[in-house]
Amino acid sequence: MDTLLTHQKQSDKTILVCDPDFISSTLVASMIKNKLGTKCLTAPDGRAGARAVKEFNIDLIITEVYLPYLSGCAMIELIRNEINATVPILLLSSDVSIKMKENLNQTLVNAFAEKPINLDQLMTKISFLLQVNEEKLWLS
Amino acid sequence: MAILNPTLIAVSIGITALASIALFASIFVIRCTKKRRSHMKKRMGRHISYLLIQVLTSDEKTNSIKRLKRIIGKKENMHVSVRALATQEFINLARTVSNDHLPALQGLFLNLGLQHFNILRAEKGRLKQKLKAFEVLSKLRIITALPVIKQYVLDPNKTLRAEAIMSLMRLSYNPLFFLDNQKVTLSVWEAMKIHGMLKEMPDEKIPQFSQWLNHRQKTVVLFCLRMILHYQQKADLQLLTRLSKSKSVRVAEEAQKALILRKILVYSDPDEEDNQIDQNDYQHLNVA
Repeated sequence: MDTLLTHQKQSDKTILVCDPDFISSTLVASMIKNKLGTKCLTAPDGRAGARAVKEFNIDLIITEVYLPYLSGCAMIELIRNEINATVPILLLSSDVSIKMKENLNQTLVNAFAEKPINLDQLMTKISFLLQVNEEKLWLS
Repeated sequence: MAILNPTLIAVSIGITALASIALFASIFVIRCTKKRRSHMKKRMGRHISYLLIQVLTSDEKTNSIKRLKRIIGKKENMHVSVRALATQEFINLARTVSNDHLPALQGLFLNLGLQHFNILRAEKGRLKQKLKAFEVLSKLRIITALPVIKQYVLDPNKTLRAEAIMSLMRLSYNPLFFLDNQKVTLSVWEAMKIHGMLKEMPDEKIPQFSQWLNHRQKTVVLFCLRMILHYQQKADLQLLTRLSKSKSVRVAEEAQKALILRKILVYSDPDEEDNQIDQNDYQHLNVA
């Protein structure tokens, strides 16, 4: 847990956590809030997730594949094609198989994380994606 | 023909109407209470899991632990067992986080005094309560629960037996020690569950399956032969030869496969003393 304390506080960012499971979404959101100090929104389904990306300025999306109403893959495609093509997306799922990685290649998803959640590894990936996104924005 | 008294008719209609109103009212009250209780259960469960998550993720834990102790100390709220709810939330959280975070959860579980409650449920509870108690106690590595769970390894109830086996595999250092005393048939479902558990274990915890090849239960022997093939273990030659001539067709087939595997393993290892084995030992096998 001590390694998490080294993550930089990024209070100006907004992260969206899209997961129908209350415990998973609360766990990730609480971790992000406590360790990074960023604003965190949660969405229980794909439709709410896509709407949140439309309405708010989201800096990172963490999503599950299996979502009600609109699946994770469909939501990612919708966001990439119609809403925001550059926002980094982290896929957090219990089913991160090779086939899925092939289907959702690098153009759609920036990183993968597996369930059960390892909080230390997840935070490292989140920090990295936020940093890369910031550098991209600065360069453009 | 009897003449109907209008007063009697009016009275009977009135009584019927009152009875039906009372019936509908009681149904409505029961449904409302049930709905309220399930809503309350959901809300309280979410509150408990939120506090548990706060303890896991936040640096400021004392306040959340105090609040959790206050809630769990109540025992019951609207006939809903708070400890049972907390146990369920611990199970859900243990399924969600990786094994690295289980020691923190275990510390919290012990701190809240839920282990006595769950050991008691494992001993005297109903079937569902026992299953949940087994799961939470084994996932959080509460070693004191080992003797209680051990009692159910030979239980006639299949579900209870399978869950007890899984729990013991999680808790015990030697994961398959219960096979020594296995008196009942090892079902395909149990074998699959055991295999699933073995897959999650580190290699050093996988036992030598040849130790059970002399078992009197044919199903155990068959399972061990399949595991020998899966983990590519080298079993005793004489034992395998004897099993390959078994009356049971499935045992004989698996033993023959294990013999072929043994031959491959022996020949691929140049330092192996068994390289000197007489080729006649394998002659009865019709290897293509």
